[in-house]
Amino acid sequence: MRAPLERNAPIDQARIDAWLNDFVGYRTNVNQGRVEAYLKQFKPADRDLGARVLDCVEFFGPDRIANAYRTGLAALPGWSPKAEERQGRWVFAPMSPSAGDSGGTMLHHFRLANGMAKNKFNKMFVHPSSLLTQQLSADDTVVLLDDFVGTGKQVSDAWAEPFSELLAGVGNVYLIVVAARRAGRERIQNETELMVHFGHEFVDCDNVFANECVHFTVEEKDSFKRYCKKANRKQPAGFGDCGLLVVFAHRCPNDSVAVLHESNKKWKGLFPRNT
Amino acid sequence: MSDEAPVARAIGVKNVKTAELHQNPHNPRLLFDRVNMDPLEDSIGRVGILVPLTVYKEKKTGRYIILDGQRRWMCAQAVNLPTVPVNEVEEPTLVQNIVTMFQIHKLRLDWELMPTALKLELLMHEVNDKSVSRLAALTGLDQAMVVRCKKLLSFPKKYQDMMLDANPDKRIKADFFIELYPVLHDRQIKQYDWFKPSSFTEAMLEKHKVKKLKAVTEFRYVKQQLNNSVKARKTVVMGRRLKEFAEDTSLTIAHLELVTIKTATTALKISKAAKELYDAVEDIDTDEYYGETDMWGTLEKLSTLIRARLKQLGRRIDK
Repeated sequence: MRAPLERNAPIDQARIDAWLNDFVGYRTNVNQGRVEAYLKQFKPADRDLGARVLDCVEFFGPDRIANAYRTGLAALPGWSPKAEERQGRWVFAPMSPSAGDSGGTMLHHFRLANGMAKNKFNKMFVHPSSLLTQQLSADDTVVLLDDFVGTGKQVSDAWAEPFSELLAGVGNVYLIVVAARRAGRERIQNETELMVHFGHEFVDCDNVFANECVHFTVEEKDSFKRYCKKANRKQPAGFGDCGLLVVFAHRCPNDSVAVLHESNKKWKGLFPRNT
Repeated sequence: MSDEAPVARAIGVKNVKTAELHQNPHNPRLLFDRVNMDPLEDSIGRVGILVPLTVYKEKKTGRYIILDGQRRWMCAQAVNLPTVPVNEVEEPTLVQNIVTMFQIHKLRLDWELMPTALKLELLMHEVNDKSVSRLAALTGLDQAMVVRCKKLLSFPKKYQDMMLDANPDKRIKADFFIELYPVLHDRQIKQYDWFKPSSFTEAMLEKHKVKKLKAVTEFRYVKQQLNNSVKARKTVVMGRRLKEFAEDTSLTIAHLELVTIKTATTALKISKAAKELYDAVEDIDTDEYYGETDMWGTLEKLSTLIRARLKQLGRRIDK
């Protein structure tokens, strides 16, 4: 987790500019007015806490996403951008291909990041529903793409049905994500045949509510939890109680704490997921 | 069809450690009912496995994969049998494996339909045959299941992907597309110049997402309304209502209920039935049916009811 500024550091123009600079490119424009409105939702006594949480937000803009995908693919054994140097056939598919979901967006980022946007690469990028008809063998490789692994449950369940059926007999099956929680990655590797590659790993101390997180006191964590409950009573710490402060430019994952992304009558997150 | 036989070549019989066997990824494992396996488990516990399992060695991992004998293997595990007899065959091709699994496990009702449909797609391509009856014979699936699979495969890949989505909240059930299919292929709906299957499908998905479709079976009602509009010659108004229904996410299927259509359809139905009854009664030889008191009683009731309705209408009935 990124370290916040010291307590009671002024919320001045320089600090706001630093946030705006960090969060540039989010799907809903993050401007000064929205930052100020967001912080005003915290009581005056807690505004410093709200600001320090913003300091800690791990934002993945297009460059970081591209870098994760570039290094992720380069690390895979047998891969080469040159067809004649590649081992076996290679096929890429989104893990969550529904319209508007992150999988399709990630596929686009991935192609751009790896210089595979040209038509000649089109055949390598397939729909999940076309994986079987590719008739891939033990010499071949499938790379599934997504943005984030949180608890790992979703990927693990999806592997159980239907992906393990669609990919039976394929030599290597990788999942490349921009970021992953260590616990989620380990779960996937224990429960599936997927090999997970990631650009950034979140560990226990990245959970803002965890004892391992040293940037906030117990009182501050309790106070922050109350705001999170205001934003989402059922999942204040985000899906799976991950307690993360992670935001992707295309969407804030629901594994992040509720104050960041929930948007309802009681709370307006700075990174809404559905607008 | 490819030159390869749809079965794997035998290698030989031997004993393999039970723990070294793995279930086939194309096996519909959800169908194994523990209760039904008790007698088999009891038998294997007493006399061991008499019929060898059929397995192959996976080239990728070197693991033994079960082609046939999953139940026997599960029972062997349950009774802690250290080894099991196996008949090893060559690793089948994907198509061979799928055909074998289809043939062994004919019932796949508990499974998501889309993976089955995709396997069928692969087989159709390999055997170059789309005949429902022949595919049913090849796979052991019943013909209705093959038809359902083919309906799913008729949808563009982006919709097929939705049925496979890793996110269960986003995954669309196969039933949605199966129920939508007759609407998209309705002869009347294709006549509307505004109608495009892709945009109509998108509109219905959006309705489904915002829960303006209570159940996917509501597509049957849409189809019925389309049918009725044709019968009642109200296709123009139906087209307008249907377009509004598709374009406005907030509208429910109640918007499609046209009273005039409903009335006209019922009227047509009653007219047809009345004519048939008229012809039947006219042909009756009263002497021959003299003792059919129930029939005469029913006709008398009907006559009274018809007279009452005609009277309500102000029609002259005493002729």
